[in-house]
Amino acid sequence: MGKMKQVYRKPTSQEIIRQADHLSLYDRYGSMAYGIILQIIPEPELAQSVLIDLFSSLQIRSYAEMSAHTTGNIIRLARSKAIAARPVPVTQSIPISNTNDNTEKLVFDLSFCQGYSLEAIAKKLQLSHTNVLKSIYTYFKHLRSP
Amino acid sequence: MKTYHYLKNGILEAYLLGLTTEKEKEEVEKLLTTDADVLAELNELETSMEEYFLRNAVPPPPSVREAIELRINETEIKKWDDVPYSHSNPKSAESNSSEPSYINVEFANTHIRVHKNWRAAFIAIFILSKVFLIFGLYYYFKSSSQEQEIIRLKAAVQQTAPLPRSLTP
Repeated sequence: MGKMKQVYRKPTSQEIIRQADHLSLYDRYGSMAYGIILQIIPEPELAQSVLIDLFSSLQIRSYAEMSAHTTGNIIRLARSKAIAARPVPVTQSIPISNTNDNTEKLVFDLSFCQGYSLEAIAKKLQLSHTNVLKSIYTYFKHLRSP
Repeated sequence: MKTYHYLKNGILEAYLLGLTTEKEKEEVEKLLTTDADVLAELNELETSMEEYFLRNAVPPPPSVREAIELRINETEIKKWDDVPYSHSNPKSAESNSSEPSYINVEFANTHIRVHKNWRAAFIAIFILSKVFLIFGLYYYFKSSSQEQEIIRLKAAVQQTAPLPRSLTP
């Protein structure tokens, strides 16, 4: 008797907007974020799980509400979530396997893809912090030039 | 001079990629609110960085979109489960909401859902009620026995007391 029965609840207009915000951001930035996550975690299953986590997170909702700097915010969030979800945590020692890479690419790879701090990279590569930052600047300057 | 330094030293690139320390991040964010040149450079950089990452973009499988949709719905339902009654009250609903946030629940039931903390409160109330009941019964029987004792003593006093002189033969 009197069994609690919850009927189907129609989503409110706000919920629909929120869902649409998440999905519209996913449609716009999903491929980019997946590419970033795959650079950090080269395992498609885990990368997809991080991508789902990323686009259903509360931070994404706040990005949807503010129009400015969405790309930067998504890049940073995708990177931080991917680094946190990596099966192999970041170690203190930096393995430098590919010596053919130029310094700029190496710095970008170690910092962005492998999650090493700029200080650790500077120490390992025997560069100053300013020069490490300069390497990142140069790397993107080359990318920007037509 | 400081602006030029910021535009050329790679800190904006590092900020966009999330590589800066908290201190550097705060510094950049502060500068972005005051320096239009730095803000313009950041916007331009963001566009080119988006282009770069789009070149390396990988389309995820369609199942990911469905999973995100499902997760958002689950989050919304969970959120509603966690919302106390006062929040679903239209009077206290979010001010930016154009319509009241009701949950349509069928009314023909006799059950209510309460927070699990009420269990401890109900147990405490039950134990206290039993304690008070025991004390009540104890004092009730004690007072009734005392009343009987008083009546008995009065009767004894009346029997042992000497009769008034007028009544003596």
